[in-house]
Amino acid sequence: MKGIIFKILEDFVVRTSGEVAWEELLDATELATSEPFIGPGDYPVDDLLALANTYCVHTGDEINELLTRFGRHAFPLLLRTVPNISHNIRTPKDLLERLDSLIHTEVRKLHPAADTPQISFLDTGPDSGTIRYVSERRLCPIARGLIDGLAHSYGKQVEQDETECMRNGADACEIHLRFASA
Amino acid sequence: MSFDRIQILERQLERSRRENAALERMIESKTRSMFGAQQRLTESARHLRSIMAAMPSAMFVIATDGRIQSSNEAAARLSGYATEPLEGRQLAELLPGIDVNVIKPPCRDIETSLMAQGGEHVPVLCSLSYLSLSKDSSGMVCVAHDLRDKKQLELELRHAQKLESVGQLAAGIAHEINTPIQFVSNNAEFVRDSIQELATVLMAYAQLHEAAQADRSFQTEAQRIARVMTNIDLPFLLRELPSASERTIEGTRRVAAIVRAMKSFAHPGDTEKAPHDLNEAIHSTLEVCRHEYRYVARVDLDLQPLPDTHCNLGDVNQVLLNLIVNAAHAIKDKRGDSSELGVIRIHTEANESQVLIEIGDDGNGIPTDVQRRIFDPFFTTKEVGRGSGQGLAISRNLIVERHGGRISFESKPGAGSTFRVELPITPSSKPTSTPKPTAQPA
Repeated sequence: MKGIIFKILEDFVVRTSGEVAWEELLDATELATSEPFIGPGDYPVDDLLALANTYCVHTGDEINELLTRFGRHAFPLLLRTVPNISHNIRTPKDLLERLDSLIHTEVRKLHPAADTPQISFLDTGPDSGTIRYVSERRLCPIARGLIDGLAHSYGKQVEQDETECMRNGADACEIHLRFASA
Repeated sequence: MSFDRIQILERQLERSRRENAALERMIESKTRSMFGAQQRLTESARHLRSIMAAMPSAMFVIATDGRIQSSNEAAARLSGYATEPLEGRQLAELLPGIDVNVIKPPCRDIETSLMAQGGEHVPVLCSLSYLSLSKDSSGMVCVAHDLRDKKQLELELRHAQKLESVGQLAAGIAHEINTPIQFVSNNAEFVRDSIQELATVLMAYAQLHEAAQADRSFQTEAQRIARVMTNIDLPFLLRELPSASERTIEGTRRVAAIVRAMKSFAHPGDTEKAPHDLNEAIHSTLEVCRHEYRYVARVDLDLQPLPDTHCNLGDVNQVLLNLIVNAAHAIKDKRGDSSELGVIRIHTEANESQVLIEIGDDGNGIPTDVQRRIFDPFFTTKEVGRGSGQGLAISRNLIVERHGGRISFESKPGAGSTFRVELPITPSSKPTSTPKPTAQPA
């Protein structure tokens, strides 16, 4: 997992619960990583989940709900790291269709070793589509949050229905989307 | 545990220091890795450039709109655009036969012409294939192979085949002529001998006629004989018939000599090398092309004894024919309709390793500015229909490539040219030929 995700998690916790909460979270969580997180670094995904779980214990949140909120928060911050992304992207579907060629290509430019998930988008109608998500990390809650953040960035609301989930033993997560104006 | 503001700032500061240190290490590592990658990239680019430069065929990388994006050295050489960049030009400017809007790659073996800078149409064989640089960038690669050498070989082959056909035809005709000319010759000799015998009979009749004139009883017959003798101009016939028959016999001898020369010159189907007398080859060739020079030049021969030379006689005869005919044309070009004859000088000599044949003329010479091109295929200064531009190119090929010899020339514009042919001889060769008279009148 890239360090930038941990930096965004820090930003999320600080904005949500304050600087003290992040310091307490670091002290309360047993991490494999001893060094501070830096954006281009690579860290175990388990460290992210450990931090999230500790934070949930502290706040009483449900873990998947927390990860989705984190994804929603992360989207605009991640988008800033991709240059010229606004070219030829007019709707959330434009970006979802070109996710692999645009976003993940840019991610690999910065982080050649990045293990990006396999995401494909099937256009099923003018305002609908289906995301197929495959990743060993099984972080589909974050993916759903990112999709929320994407829709919000383009002034849309998105209704998501995850009919298949890797966390429940499926080969891939299938998330059906329906966009509506905000 | 709760933190006050100072403690938080101290923790953040400590983390920032460690982050900075980690970032510095990472930057250092990335810099090294990028340097290595750049070196590999540079090496890869150099490798790619050297491959493109080493390609004997012209290569054009074309955008989808037909513009040339890059090309190799062979493309610059072939097109003649050595100093001006080809990049940015439309491929159709160079290869009008390749319309990238119509032709769908991959396609191979498209025979077309490349328009070189000087307007020369260079025959080329093209292949076209798609080039996928990335998902968003594609183009085509066009490879054009220069066909000039192949075309020249094909032309030479056709020329050689034609010559072989002509040679076979000539040999056949010579064979057919040989028999009738033999009996024409024999009969002419019989006529000559008979005329001499008939002359003695006629002389006896003349004496009888003189006697009959004195006798009145034969006066009528004597007068009739006198009229006949006057009408046929018997003294003239008796004077001219022997020389006429001699000239007829001489004519048949000339025809027989030409036939023998043609049979020797043609050598149909003879593709192997064997020992041959090149002085004899010169005589045969002069006989065959006599009509080319007889009215414009006399031939001075200076033929030294030569060893038999290991060669293909048909090839050597072809070269001699080209050089002698060129010499005659050069003399005719200089003298125009003048009745004064020029001179074609032919000299041969040999040393231990090679035979030298020199064919010189006092014609108009070769202009200095074209001397370096005279052995180029298709190059000629002669008017249309008189020269194909292949004679000297073929001659050089026959002497240099097929016999390991040399062909060279000296020329002074307005004064004439001398061509030198040097042919290696086999070590076992011994002088055998007998020199013929040193000059042959035209």
